[in-house]
Amino acid sequence: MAPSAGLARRAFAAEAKIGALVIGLVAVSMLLQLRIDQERGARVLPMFVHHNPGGAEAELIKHQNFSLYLPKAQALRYASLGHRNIVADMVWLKAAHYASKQFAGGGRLDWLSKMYNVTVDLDPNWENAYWMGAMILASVARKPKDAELLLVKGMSRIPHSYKLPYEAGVTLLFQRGKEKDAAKYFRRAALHPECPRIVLDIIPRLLSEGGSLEAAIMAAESRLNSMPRNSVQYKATARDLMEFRSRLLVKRWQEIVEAFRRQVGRSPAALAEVRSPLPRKDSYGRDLLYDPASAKVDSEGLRLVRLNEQIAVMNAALGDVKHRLGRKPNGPREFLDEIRKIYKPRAHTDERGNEQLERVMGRWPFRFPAHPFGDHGERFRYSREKAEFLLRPDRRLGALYPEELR
Amino acid sequence: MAEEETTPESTGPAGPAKPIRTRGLSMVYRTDILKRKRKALDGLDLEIEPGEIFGYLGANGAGKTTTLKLLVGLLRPTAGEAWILGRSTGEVASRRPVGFLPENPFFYEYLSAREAVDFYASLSGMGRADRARRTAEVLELVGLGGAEEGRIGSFSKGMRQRLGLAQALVHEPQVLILDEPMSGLDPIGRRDVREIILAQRDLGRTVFFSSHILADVEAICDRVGILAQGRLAETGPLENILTREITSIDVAVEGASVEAVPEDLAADTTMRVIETENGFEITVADYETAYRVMDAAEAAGAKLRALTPRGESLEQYFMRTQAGGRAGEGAAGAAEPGAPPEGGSPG
Amino acid sequence: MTNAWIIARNTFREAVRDRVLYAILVFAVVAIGGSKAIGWVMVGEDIKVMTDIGFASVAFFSVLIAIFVGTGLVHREIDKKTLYTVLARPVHRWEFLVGKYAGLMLTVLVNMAIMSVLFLVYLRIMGLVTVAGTDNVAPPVLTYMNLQALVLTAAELAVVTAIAVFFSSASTPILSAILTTIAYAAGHTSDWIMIMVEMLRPAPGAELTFWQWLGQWILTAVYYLVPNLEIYNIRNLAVHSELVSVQPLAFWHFTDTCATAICWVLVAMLLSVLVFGRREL
Repeated sequence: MAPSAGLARRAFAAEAKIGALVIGLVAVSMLLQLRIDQERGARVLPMFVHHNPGGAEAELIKHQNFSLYLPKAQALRYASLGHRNIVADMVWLKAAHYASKQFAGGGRLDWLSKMYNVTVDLDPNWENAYWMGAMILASVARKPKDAELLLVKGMSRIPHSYKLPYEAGVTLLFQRGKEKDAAKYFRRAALHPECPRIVLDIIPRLLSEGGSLEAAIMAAESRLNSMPRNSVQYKATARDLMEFRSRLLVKRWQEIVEAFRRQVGRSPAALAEVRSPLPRKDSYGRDLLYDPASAKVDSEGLRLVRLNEQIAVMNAALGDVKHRLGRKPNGPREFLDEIRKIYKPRAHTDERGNEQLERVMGRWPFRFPAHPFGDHGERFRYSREKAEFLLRPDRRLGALYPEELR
Repeated sequence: MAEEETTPESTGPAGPAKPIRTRGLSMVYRTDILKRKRKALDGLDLEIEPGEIFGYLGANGAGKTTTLKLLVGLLRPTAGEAWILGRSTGEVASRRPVGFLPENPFFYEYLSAREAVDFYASLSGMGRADRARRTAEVLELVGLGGAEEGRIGSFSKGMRQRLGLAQALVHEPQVLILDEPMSGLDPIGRRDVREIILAQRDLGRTVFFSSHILADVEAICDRVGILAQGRLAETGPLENILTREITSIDVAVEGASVEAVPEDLAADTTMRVIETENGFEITVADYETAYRVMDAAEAAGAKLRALTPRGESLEQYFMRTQAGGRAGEGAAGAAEPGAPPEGGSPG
Repeated sequence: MTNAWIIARNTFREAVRDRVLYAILVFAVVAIGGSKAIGWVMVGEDIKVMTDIGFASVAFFSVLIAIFVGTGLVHREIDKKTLYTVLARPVHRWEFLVGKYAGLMLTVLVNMAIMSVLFLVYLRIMGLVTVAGTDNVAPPVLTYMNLQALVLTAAELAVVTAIAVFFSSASTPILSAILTTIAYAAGHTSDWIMIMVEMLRPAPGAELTFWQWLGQWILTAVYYLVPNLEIYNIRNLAVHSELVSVQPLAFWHFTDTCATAICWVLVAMLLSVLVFGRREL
C-alpha cells in the first residue's frame, strides 16, 4: 500500500524547510567568515585577493633552516590546536635546557637559534622571548647575526618596544664595524617614551665609543644587571667581561710599549722595564706575556681562551665527521680528509670558529701555530676512546675560570 | 490460520472518535544501510472502543511493540495511518491524552522518583499546583508512597515498573497504551496493576496493553487482538475467540464403573478416562460422543454428575495458531513474568 | 517552547549529578593550581606561563566536558529508553534536542565560569605575591581583553557543544566522541587550508592549470564548510595585553565573531533535528 500521503507529505515539507534554513545559514556564516578573515588580517580567498609574503619577512623565512629534531613552526602551530602559547613555552623551556647543557659541556649551540625562532613564531607577541633569546644567542652561543635577525623579527611584530632595539644596538656592537647600524637602533630605542633613564644614559657613551672594547665592557656590565646570577647567560657574559677586560689591558700595555719605543728608540727588553700603574696580571689572574722580538703584548689567560675555543671548534667538526662516517675517525689524517669534504662555511655558524678551523685544518701535523712567546707550539692530542681532541689538563677551561663561572 | 474478518473500515464520518484507530498501518525496518528490510507490521487495521480494556497479544517478534511505538509517534509508519481520539499520530498533539509505558523502562538515574514524575507531568502540560498533588497521589497509587525521595538508580526492576506506570498515569490520560505492564512484578504486583487498569476503566478511560501473561489478559480484558508475523490474526472478545473451538467435553459420571463406557470409545486410546471413587470421568471430543456416553451411563444406572465443555485455553489457542507459522520459536505464551522482550526495534 | 526549557533544566540537573563532571573539574583545578610550579622553572616568565596554562586549561577542560558529557547525551537516552517516556508526550523532537543542548550548554558554561573565576583569582593572588616588596604593580586581571577572550571561548564551546549534540543524535557515543574531536581539530587547523590554497597558485607568469583551479575551489569550499574555531581564540593575544600593539577586538570584529558562532550553532541544531527526526527509535 502506498504510504499515507498526508503524513509523508507533511514530514517532507518540514524537512525541506529545515534544509533551506541550513543552506541559508551556511551562506550567512560564509559571508561573516569573509569579514572576520579580513579583520584578522588573515589571507582571504586567493581568487579575489593576491597576497605575497615579500620583503623582510621573506628574507627571514629563507634564513630559517629547520633541523630534524624540531618540527617546522607551521606544523607545530597547527598541531597545538589553538594552544600555541603553551607549546611556545615548552619550546622555550627546551631551549633553556639545551643552552645550559651545551654550555656546561663546552659544545656549540647550533640549534638554539632554530628553537628561539620556533618559539617566537608560535607566540609572536612575546617580547621577552625575542629579548632574552637574542641576548643568549649573542652572549652564550656567540651568534650575533642570529641574534640580530631575531630582534629584527621582533621589532617588526612589536613596533612599540624599546627593549628590542636597544638590545639590537648592543648586539651589533659585539660585531666589529657595525656601529652605524647600532646607532640606528639606539635612536629608535631612545624615541620610545618608556625607555628608562639608565638606558638613555648609556646609549650616547656606547655610540661614542663605537666598536671599541670600552663600549663592549659597558654593554656587558649593563647586561649583567638584568640577568639572574646563576644563569647560563650570566656566566657567559661574565666570562666575556673577563675577556674584554684582559684585551683592554693588553691593548693599553701595547700602547705603552709603543710610547716607550718612540721615547727611548728601541723596544723594551721585558715588561718589567716599563713603568706603568697598570696591573701586570690579566683579569684571569695570569701573567702578561711579552715577546721582545716583535714587541707584542699578550696575556696568558687570553691565550688559554683562544686555545679552548680552537679545541671546541675542532671537536664540533669531529662530531660532524663521526656522523658522516658512522664511526670515529681512525686518526687525525682521516679526520682532515673528511673535514675537507663536508665542512663548507655555513651562514650562521660561529664566524670566529670558522676562521680558526680554517687556520688549523690547513696544516699537518696538527699543531696550533707557534706562539711567539715560547719555543714550541702548544700540543693537543686525539683521544681515540673518547673520540675527542684534548688539551693538557692545566690548559682547560676548568683551570681558567673561578668556581662560580664554570 | 483462519483469517478473521476485520472490522469494516468506516468510510463516512463516524460517531465520536475512537480512542485508537489504525488503517493499513505498516512498518518496514531498514535493518542496515544495505537496505535489507524487515517487515515488522503489515497492514494493521484496528479499532478500539471507548472505555474498553484491550489486550494485545502475539509471539516475540510479531510486531506488538512496533505497533505501540507507532501509536505513540516513536516510529513513523512506512504505510498506513493511525489516529488517537480522531487526531493523526503524525501530530504531536495527538499524544496529549495518551499515557505510555514502554517495555523495560529506564529513567534518569540521578533523579528521585518524585522529581521524575514531576518532570513528566510538567512535560504533559500540568500546572504547578496540579503537579504536586497528582505526583503524590499517583506515587501512592502505584505503591511507591514511601520511596518518593529515593534515587531511581537504586530502584529494583519492580519499582521501576511501578514508576513507569506512575508517569503514565500522572496526567490523567484518556488513553493508556502500555507495553508489558505486568513485567517484572511479583504476583501481588501483578494483581495491583490489574486493579489499577480496572480502576481506569471505571473512570471511563481506555486501556490498550500488550502482554505475554495470558492469565492476566484472560482476567481483565474485554477484547483481545492477536498478532502474528505482523498481521492481525484474530480480534474480538475473548469468549468469541476461544469458545468457537471447543476442544473437549468432560463427562463425570457417578454410580457406574468404567465398563459402562461404550466399547468403541474405550478402545480409543486418545480418550482420557479416569476412574473416580464411585464413578469415572471421561473426556470426549464433542457433544455427540458426550451424549452417547451419558446414554450408556444412564443405561447402566449411573447418574450424570457433571458435564463440562472445555474451551481452548488461551495458551492452547496460542500454541496452536502460533506454532504453525513459527516452528521452534518456543513457548510463545509462556506465562513467566519478565519474558524476553519482543524484538520490536532492530539493532 | 517551555518544554525545551523543562528538558534543559532536567538535563542540567542530571549532568550536575554525574561524577565525570567533578573528575574533570578536579583536573582543571590541579592544572591551574600547578601552573605556578611550571612558572617557577621559567626564569622570570612565571606570570606569563601561569596565564597561558590558566586560559588553556579553562578552554581545554570545558571542551572535554562538552565532548564527554555531550556525546553520550542522546545515545544514552535511546539506549536506555529514557527517551521513550519523554517523546510519547506532546513534545516535539526538536524541543527535546534544543532542551538537551541548552541543558548541556548550561552545564558547560557553569563549569567554565567556575574555572575562570578560580583562574583569575589565583592569577591575581600570585601577581600580588610576586610584586610584594618591590615597587612594581601587579598586572590587572579583570582586563577587557581577558573578558573578551573568555566570552569568545564560551562562543567556541557553544559551537563545539552543538556539534557534539549533532553527532550524538546520529550515532553511538564512541563514534560521536571521535567525530566531535576530529571536528574540533579540523576547526583549529582550518586556517591551514587557506595556506594550501595559496600554495596552489601558479608560478608567476604561468597559467592556472585545471587541477590547480579545481584544488583551489574544493579547498575553499572545505574551508567555508568547516567552522573555523580559531577565530574565537584570542587567548594567545590576551596574555600580552600590556603591549601597546595588542588591542582588544574592535566592536564589529567581536560581534561578527559571536554572530558566526550563533550561525554555526543553528546549523548544527537544525541538522540534528533533521537527522533525529528521521531516526527510528
